[in-house]
Amino acid sequence: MQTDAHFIIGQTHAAAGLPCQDYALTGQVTGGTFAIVADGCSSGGRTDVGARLVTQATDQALRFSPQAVVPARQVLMQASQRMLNLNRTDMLATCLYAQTHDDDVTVHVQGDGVVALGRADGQILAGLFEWSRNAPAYPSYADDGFAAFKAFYGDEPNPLTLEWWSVTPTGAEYLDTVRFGLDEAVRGITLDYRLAGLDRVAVFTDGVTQIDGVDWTDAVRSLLAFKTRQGAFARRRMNRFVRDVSLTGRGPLDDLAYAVIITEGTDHDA
Amino acid sequence: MPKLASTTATFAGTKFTYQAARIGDLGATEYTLVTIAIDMTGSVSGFESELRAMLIAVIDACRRSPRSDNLLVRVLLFSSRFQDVNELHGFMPLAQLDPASYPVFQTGGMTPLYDATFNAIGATVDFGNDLSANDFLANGIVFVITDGDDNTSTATPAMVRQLLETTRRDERLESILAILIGVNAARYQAQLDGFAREAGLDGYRDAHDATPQNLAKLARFVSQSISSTSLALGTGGPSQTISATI
Repeated sequence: MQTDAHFIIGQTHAAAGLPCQDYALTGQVTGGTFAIVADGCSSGGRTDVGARLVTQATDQALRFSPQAVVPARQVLMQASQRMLNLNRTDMLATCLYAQTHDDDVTVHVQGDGVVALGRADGQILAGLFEWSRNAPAYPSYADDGFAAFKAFYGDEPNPLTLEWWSVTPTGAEYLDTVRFGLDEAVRGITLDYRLAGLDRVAVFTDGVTQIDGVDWTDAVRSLLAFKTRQGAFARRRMNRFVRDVSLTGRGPLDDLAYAVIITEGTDHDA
Repeated sequence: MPKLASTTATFAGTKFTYQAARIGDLGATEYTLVTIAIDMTGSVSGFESELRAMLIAVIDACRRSPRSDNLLVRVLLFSSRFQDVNELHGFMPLAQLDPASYPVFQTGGMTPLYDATFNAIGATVDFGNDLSANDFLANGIVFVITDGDDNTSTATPAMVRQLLETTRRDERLESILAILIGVNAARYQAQLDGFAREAGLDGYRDAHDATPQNLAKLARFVSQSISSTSLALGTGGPSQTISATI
């Protein structure tokens, strides 16, 4: 399996002289591969650091504690925060990852963003995670058992939604919306699929939904339309995508990160 | 040397062949395609070893560039002795080049200057378009180094011009620069100026006599031009008028 990841700074942060608060990486372990993205909270502290830490902690948890990734990640994050004298506000970052193991793939989402499962026939099943008050549950909120976060959402019954879309080479069709209660949502949502029939699995930060003048489903389609699937294929695709949209004066308003696992299929998409 | 992929391309009914690194093996996301074409005809006899030393100096200078990982270099020799051009190597990453292993240059034959220029530019355009189609960003710079005028080509200056104009309109390759350089070519100044103009090249530069000092200057000019072109990648256009002089 081939993997690649890339992240870029959005126009808003670039104009404000702020660092990119998204991060992405991929890796391989015995029996599988993984892809991770993280998005630091813009109103937090040094969340560019936090996003990298949560990504790296997830990387290590996937390698060394694959049966209990989230608790292992939490331990690593808390230890890192203490050792590096970081504030709680520095650690506020979402995290999405996809992990293949044998014939299956698991996707885990804590926060918001997009997951995409691509088929060899060109269809992409894309899922958009959104929180009703635009305040996602960050993994680091587990330090108080999500007590403050739950208090913020109060009695709201289903604050997290997952909107499924079918994205084809020519368009996109809404399929369904799944709603999650607060208790389930804060723990993170886990989705399991069989790899058979899939040729691409990707996770995106929510920056993919904030590209000026480009619908998020179109962005997902473009960003997964790899010309080759070798080397820095995702980085090249994103660079080309950003150049193309910038020709019309548009571009990513927010930081954008994605991480991709190529599971099978031909070398060329288009 | 690593295995390269061989490609035969056609432009305006004329075929040319070149080799290049396999796209799947390339690690960077953007490249400057550098071609150095060197005259190996009979009249070059007497300073062929200096030309080889100049070439090695260019490669060594490019290796020291911070953009060395974004350069793919092709070197070819031209003479009517060769069926097409004699490609020392196709477009390869600098790190994979071993210029110390370049063969001793042998001279002889007549001057297919237009054919060599057409091949050098055509291969750059074809491979550059292939890179672009695979989401790489690419631009190109071609140096054709000669000591005399053409006397045996089938390609014409008009064909070279058409190739360059088509490429520049197309914009798949971010930019392409093609520079004709004369060494020991003072008596052909008018013809070489004329060829550069007719073919739409980016100028003719006279490197004067083939002395070690002049060829060292030529090596510096070539490597600085390559560096400027590579730094211009991503800006949407060619490098500023190459300020380096011979």
